[in-house]
Amino acid sequence: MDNQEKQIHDLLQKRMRDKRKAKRKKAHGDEKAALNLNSMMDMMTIILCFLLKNYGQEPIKVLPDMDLPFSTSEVIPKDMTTVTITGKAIVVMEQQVVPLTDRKVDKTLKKGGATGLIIQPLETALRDAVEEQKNFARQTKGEFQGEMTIIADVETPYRLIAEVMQTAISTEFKKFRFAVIKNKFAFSGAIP
Amino acid sequence: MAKVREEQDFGDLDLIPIMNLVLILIPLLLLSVVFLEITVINVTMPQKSLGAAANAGEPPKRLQLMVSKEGFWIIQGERAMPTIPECQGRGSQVTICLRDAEAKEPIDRYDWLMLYNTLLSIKGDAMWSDHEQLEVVAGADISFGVIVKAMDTSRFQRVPPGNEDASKGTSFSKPEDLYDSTVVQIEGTDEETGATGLRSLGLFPLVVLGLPTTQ
Repeated sequence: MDNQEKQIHDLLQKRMRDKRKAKRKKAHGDEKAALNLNSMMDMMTIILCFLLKNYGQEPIKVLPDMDLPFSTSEVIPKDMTTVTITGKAIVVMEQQVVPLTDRKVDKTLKKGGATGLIIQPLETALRDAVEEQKNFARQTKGEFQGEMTIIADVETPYRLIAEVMQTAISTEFKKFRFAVIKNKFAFSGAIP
Repeated sequence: MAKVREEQDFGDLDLIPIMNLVLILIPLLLLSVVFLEITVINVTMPQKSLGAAANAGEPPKRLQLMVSKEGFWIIQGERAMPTIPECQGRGSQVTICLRDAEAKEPIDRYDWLMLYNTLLSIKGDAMWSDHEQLEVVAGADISFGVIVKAMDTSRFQRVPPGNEDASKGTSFSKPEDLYDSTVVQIEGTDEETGATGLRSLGLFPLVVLGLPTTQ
C-alpha cells in the first residue's frame, strides 16, 4: 500500500516537473525574437508626410552656381514666368537663352549694338512666354498679368538687369519681382 | 475558441520592405528640402512713352536716388540735394559719400546709415510725407546686391527695438543701432490682401528702377 502511494507521488512529481520544463521551454526556447517596429513606423510616417508636404513647394528654383542677395522683404513669391541671371547665362523657364561673358551680353545679340537695351534671343523667348501666359489666361478666363520674377546673382551689374527688364517691357511684361533670400536687415550685406 | 486561435495564427505584418522604402525616401526628401526662405521685392520700370503722356499737366513729383561708385546722389523733384565736392572721385555728383571706400565687398562701401537718415528727414518734410515712390537709378557697374540693399534701406521707417508702436521712425547715430532696429508697426489695411491689422510703416516702399547711367 505504501509502495503504491509512493509510486503515485513520484508520478505526480514527475508530471509537475515536465510541465515546468515545458513552460520554461515555451518562454525562452525556440521562438524567434521580433523587434517591435510600431513606434518607429509611426515616427517615419510623420517625417515622410512632413517632407512630402515641403517637397516642391517652392515656386522659385535657384540654380546651384549663383548666390541671391539677402533682403528684409516679406512678399511671398508666386508661380510665374522666371528669368534667371547667373554669372554665365540668362535662363528663361529652365532653358538657357543667352550666354554671358564676364556678366555681359555680347553686342551682336543686342539691337543697336553695345549700347542697345534689347537682347534679341531673350526677346524671342519672352514672346513665347507671353503667348503661353495669354493662352493660360484665356483658358482660365483670367486676365493677362504680365508678371515676371527675376532671379539674379548678387553680383549681376545693374546694366544687365536693366537690359533684361527693358527687353521684358518690350514683350508686354509689366510687373517685376526680384527674388531674394529673406533675412534680417543686419545681414542684408553690410555687417558693421 | 476556434476563432481566437485563427487570429493568433495570423501573426505580425512583415513591415521590413516598407521600412526599407521609407528609410530610402527620407534622406532623398531631406536632401531636396530648402532651408532658406525665398521672398520677392516688387519693382517697376517706367515705360518710355507712358510716363510722359500721363503727366502732361504739371511735372510729376519725383524723388530720385542715384547710386554711383562714389556714393549716393539724391534729387528731390527739381532740386538736387547739396553735393559734397570732396568725395567726387570721377566727376559724378554725390550727396552722401562712401563710408569705407577700401572695403572688400561693394555693399560695405556705402553709407547706409546716412542714406536712411537722409530719406527719413525728406519723409518728415510736409511736401514728401505722402510720397511713396523712390526712383532708383544706378551706374552700369553697380551690383544687384547694392541695389537690393538700397531698396531695403528705403522700404520701412525704423525705431530702436521695443518702440514698434511709435507713430514714425527715428534717425540713428550708429550703424549698429540701425541694424538692431525694428520696423514701426501701425494700424492699417494691407493693400495686397485687404486685411486690417498691424502693418509696417513705409518710408518710400514703391521702387521704380530707372535706366542705368553711363558713369
